[in-house]
Amino acid sequence: MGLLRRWWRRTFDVRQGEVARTLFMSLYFFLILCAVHILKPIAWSLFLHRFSIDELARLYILIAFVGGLLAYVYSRLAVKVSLWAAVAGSTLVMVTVLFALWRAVSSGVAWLFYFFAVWVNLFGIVFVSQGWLFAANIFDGREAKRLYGLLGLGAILGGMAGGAITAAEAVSSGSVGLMPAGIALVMLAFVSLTVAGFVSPRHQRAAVPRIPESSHTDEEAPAGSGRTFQFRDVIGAVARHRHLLLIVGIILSTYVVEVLVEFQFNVAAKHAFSNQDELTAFLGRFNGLFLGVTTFLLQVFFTTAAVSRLGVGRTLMVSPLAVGVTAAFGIALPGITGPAATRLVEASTRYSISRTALELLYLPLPTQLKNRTKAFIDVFVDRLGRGLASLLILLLVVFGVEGSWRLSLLIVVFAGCWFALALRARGEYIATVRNRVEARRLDLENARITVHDSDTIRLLEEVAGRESERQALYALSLLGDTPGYDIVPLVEKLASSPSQVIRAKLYELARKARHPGLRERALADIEGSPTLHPDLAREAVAYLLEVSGDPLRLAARLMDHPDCFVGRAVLEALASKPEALETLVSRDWLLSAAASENPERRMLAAFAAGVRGEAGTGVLARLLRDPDARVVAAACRAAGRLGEERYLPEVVSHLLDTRARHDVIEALGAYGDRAAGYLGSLLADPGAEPALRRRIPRVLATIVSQSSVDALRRVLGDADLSVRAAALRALGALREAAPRLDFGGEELRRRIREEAQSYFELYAALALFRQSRPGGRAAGLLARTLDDRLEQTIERLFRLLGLRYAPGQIRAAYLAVRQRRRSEEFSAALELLDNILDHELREILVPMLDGSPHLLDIGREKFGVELPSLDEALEHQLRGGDPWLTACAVAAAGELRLLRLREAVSRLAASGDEIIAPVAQAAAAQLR
Amino acid sequence: MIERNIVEKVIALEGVELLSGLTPDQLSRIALIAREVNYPPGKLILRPHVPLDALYVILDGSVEIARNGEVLHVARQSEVLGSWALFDDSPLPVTAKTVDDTALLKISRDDFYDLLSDHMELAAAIFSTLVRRFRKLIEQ
Repeated sequence: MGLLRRWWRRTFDVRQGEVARTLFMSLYFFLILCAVHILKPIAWSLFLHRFSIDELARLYILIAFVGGLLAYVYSRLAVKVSLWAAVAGSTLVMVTVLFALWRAVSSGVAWLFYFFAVWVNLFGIVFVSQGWLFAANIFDGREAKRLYGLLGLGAILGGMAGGAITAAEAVSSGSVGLMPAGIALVMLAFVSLTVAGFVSPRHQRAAVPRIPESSHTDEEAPAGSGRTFQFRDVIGAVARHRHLLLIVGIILSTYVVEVLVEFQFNVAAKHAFSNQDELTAFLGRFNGLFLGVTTFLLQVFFTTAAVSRLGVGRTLMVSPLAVGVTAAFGIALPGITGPAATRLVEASTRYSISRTALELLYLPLPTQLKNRTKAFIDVFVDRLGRGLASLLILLLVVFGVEGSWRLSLLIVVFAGCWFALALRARGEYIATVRNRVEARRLDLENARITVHDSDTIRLLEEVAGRESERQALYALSLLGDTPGYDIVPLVEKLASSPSQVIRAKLYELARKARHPGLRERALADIEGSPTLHPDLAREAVAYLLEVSGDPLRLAARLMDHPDCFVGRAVLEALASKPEALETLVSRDWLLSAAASENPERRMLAAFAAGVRGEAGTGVLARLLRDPDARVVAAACRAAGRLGEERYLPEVVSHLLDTRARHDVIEALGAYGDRAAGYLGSLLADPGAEPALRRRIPRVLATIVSQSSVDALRRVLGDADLSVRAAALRALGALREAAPRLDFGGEELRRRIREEAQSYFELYAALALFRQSRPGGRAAGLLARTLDDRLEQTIERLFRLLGLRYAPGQIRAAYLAVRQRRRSEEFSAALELLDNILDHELREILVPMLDGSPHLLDIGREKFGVELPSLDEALEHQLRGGDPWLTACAVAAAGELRLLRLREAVSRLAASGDEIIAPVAQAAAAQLR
Repeated sequence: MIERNIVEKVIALEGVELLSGLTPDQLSRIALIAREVNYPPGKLILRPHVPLDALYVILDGSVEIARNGEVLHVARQSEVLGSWALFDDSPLPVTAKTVDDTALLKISRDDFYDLLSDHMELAAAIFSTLVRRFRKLIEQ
């Protein structure tokens, strides 16, 4: 019993809030298909009774033609009203026409039999298509994936019930006498659909829209547009969207195969049974029993599981593969066995697996596009496929080559085309889902501006002269990068700008243009002021040294400037000239500057040591311990520039100084791989200062090497969650910078499983708190902390996934999962993960992120995680390595007077831990 | 008097609107820099025209807030004094004086900035709360 319940729950995962919707939509399909299977045999028997079998191919062609016309008319009318109103309207028309046919058909007028057969065929397609469209609007993608199987089941049971009613009552009530029952079922189906819409959540009910008018854009119809429906717009939309085009191709090949299989089966049946009654009995048994039961079993036991395990794309391939293989083997089988087996496989998989997968294939499309095109595609392409197949059959009959093996061969060929399209659709489906998930990401590269025309140049020249410093700098940068543009006149014109930053930019442009005209002004700028903007100091010095006749003499003069940025600019400008540097910065100069009382001078000494080397003075050792943080920062940079490993511990220790941290990180980055080993050993040492360990990953992220990756991978299971999170962030940055580095395939999978297990343990503990509601402020705090830890675990899981799969896609999926309110994006994100993750990870992670109500079962099954008692849950947290969670658990144990935990709490009270011990002492007092 | 432990401090900080966007874990980091201070009745905590350098959360007792001798409000448990002091050192034109024995949680601005520089996620959560508050004001 438990096994059955588990199977039912997994196969048909109907969740709270979905029951009524699912029930009424399933009922709708049940009633509609029941009506179709009552009315269709009546229409066909009347037709076949009146006309010879040769008329059948002509009827198919007529149905195809009228189907296209109906699709056009329906689409034109439906755009003017809501989807519900379109359904109501079509129900009214269908019921009225059926009622009139019921009254008129006894008259025996020949065209009425044609009309009835065509009408009933189209009636089935329109109502089934409308039903799926309505379902697509009241279920989101994730719900649809779980629940469409049940809707399909309703349709199959309806078909079986309709067939059974017709078989049982046709003789006693007469064919025409059954028509009122069919009409009543159509009306009941409409009521059921209306209730389904009514019981849908408000946001989804609101989403049941008008079928939009075709518009210029793909995604949205302009509000209030009075433009009427254009046939070519739908065709255009199909042509523009490869996804839609593939759907059309699949439907087309599905129905070509269907008609060929049905024809082959009918021909074989006619040959196999010479007696009319035996033939009727065989057809009744085949359609009512064999086909009905097979379809039912496939739908119940296979469809949902196939969609969930294989995904939409692979499920689409099942039917063509099965039909192709059966038809190929059928050639060797005698008599009707081969065609019957092919028909059984084709019809049963089409009604169950293919139908469900095809409806799911529509889901990633934007709602407006889907609503605009679906009804048209379903009705028109279905008819077109059947029409094409009918023409093919006519040709075969005309040329007398309708033999069974030739038909089998033709079926195999078309099934092959169908399979190829399904294969292509799989890739397209994933691409469409991916695009929808990633659509929210801003492509900043598109914001780049290039200057080509004279109008833009004039505009930029004007902007460069404006007061706004930021705009002027931007305009000057763009003009400076414009090929062939002579910047010198503009530089001369703006040289007297009051802004130091703009003047700095002008010196930079003048230097690049090798224009000496600003020399006097630059010298005045430097020597006229004791303090300068660092940009102005750097650019003015670089410019002067570039255009000066005696740069070394000028450099010596500038080194004595009171603003250390000027001296620094000199050293930077001469960095590529070691001989000049050695003359300028002697050993004595270094020692004297390092010993200066002026911290700016000491900063300059540190900078000089970094540029030209320490010259055996060892000044950096002293400067790294300087009381001034700016000097320490400069010394760290110098040590990094020189790559001196003996200074590494001292430099790393300054990571704790917030004022120097930025420079220290850059300095360690400059050490490169030489620092990675030392940093890695410190990071892996649980006894090292925790704050220092947390900062190391950020440094390693700047050293793009396998050593960094290896060091970070070693702490992915660290007890300190902030170290773990920092390591994951750093690995993510390294993956983006160097995707070819080895991030550990199998190890990552293990880490993902570990994090998932941790999620299920936290989830079980939180579920206990939610169920038992123990009350109390500390217990509430513990519950909130557990909730927060679940979120953090999900973030870490996504970061791990980002190391294994495409980081951009995973990041976009994480954003969508985090903002669950945006349900379409959330569904698309889960759909993406469902398609890209390995089977093992998908089975664990997708239900977890989807908020499955069966998470406790999954945790138990996959990781052996049981729902704990309150004592056990708290005891587990007391033993854990998460100090804050332990502190909360200790406080909750005291507050809830859990005497069984007294000993464990007392141990923690005596532990001396500065966070946990005080909390444990208070809790121990409560437990006394 | 024994200082409150970290869990008790976090429970007190959960009532501070400025910190409402923070998770319990993040609040525990603020609790680590929050110091408990105990004042007798009549102790002046805020003086007019004297710059603020800390935020205070009332743990026990009550504090009278007055301007020009007129009592504007008597703040009690979980209420905050100088909620903007963490971002703005401009003095307030009011006095705040303890009415009875009062325990306060004091978060100094310097410690708070040090903490933010180490934990950017805290800064992001606080900015997010501030933005929500501004948005609410604009919508009003």
